[in-house]
Amino acid sequence: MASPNGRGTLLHAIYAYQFYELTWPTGNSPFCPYTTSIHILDDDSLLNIFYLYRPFLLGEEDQNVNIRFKGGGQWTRERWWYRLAHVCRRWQNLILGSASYLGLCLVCTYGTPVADMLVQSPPLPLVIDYYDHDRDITAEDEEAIILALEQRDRIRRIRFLLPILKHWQQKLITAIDGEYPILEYLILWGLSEEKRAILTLPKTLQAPHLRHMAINCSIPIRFQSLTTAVGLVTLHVALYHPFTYFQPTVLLQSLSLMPQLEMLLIAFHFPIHNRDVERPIMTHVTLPNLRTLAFKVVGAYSEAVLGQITASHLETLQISYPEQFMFFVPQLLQFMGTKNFRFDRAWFNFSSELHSLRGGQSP
Amino acid sequence: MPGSTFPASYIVYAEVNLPETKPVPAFSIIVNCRHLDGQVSSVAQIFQSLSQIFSAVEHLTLAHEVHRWSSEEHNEVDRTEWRKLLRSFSNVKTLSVHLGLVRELSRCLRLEDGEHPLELLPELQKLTYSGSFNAYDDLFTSFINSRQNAGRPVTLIESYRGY
Repeated sequence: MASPNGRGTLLHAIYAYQFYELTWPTGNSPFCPYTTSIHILDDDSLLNIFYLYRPFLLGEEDQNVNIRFKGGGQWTRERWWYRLAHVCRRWQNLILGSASYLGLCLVCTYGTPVADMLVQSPPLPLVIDYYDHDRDITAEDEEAIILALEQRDRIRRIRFLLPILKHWQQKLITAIDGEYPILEYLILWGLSEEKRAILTLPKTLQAPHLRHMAINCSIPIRFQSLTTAVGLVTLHVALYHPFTYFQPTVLLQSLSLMPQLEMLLIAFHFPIHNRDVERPIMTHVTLPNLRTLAFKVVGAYSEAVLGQITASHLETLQISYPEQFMFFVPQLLQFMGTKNFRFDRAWFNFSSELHSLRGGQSP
Repeated sequence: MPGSTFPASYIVYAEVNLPETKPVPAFSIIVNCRHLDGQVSSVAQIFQSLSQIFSAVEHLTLAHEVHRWSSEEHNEVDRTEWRKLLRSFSNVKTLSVHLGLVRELSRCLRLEDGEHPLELLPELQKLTYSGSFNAYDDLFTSFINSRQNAGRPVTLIESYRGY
């Protein structure tokens, strides 16, 4: 099925096949000896094919919210056009002449010689992607990252799986400094064993065109710096150190400036007492585009927030509570009651320790 | 826990979905709690509060995973907690109970003094449980008989699937 913008998995496969047919070096592909030359296509037709050939990389079609929060699949596939631009001069001119239409960008990732790339390549937007659990950032990569992050006017996306060494973590975070006028994605994900280390983003960081932000480590969120990001569509904030906690009022004030928000996750992976959650001191917030809302907070926190927001188009609500003796959820009831869901099926899964008659051994 | 954003080990996970099945449930809730008694008590409280939202639910499944065996005794759940949870789903027509909870649920459904046979799951028509080669044959007999006598029979089905 093709998606509304014309791209889709089936279509993608068809065009991939066509490219293979059309660009076979001898002119005769192994699939068909009568392949028509690519050169009979006019520029508009070719451009249309290139446009449709662009891969989905940001999880646009994925129903798994975790994948979407992480920015989708491998951004290295943004190099889809590299080989096409080398087929012939005409294709190169056509592709580079339509860079904005095709959404072209250069990819900085593990092993990329960024300094050379910046000198030799056209001044296209940059995608910085170091997000691989199986690879480490080398000393050369460190230099390359710092150099890439200095190209503020060109950076469209940043995604880091934060390295293990804390001094380098902070050095990297500190380098995300100043105004990034075209930055759309900022994803900072900690390794599980290092997520409690407190890191600090520079106060001067500004990203007015940010659409997707995911923090999954212990960076205190400067909501003030997000006030310019009115086009934010996805906000994922998962924090691991108590120092990074913020009250519902702070969150609600920020949400009131994010009318485009479609997906929101707030998770505090540290203990908070219900009594420490302050009642919000602000009026109602309407999030007309919110589709997914996920909380991992104490009951008092979710109650404080749910009592103050309206999300008429919500499709998915996920809540995770820590263990507590009493649950009091009137705001959750009221919030759910406005949705007019007609639920049909319920599924409970109890995953627990069980008492063994034989003293700790599985029978 | 398909579609959950918050994976964890010792939890009770509940999802409630719309008739059109989606990969991500419309509503899901997790309570982090190590032992079964605390888990049942937690979701019983929450779903009792939300019972009017779930009044249309027709299919209810109760599953159990033993994450770890311990020497502590916390798997004896107060029968009233189970009943509180089931009471939140007054329109359920099919109930599926997976292995590990069959004894618990049969104990909960068995009538005690003063309890009315239609007090719990009055619309129930089919009860499926994961069997173990007829080991649980008699556990639901009293419940099935009481429903039969009340004029609202329930079909009992033993299944070897659904672990």
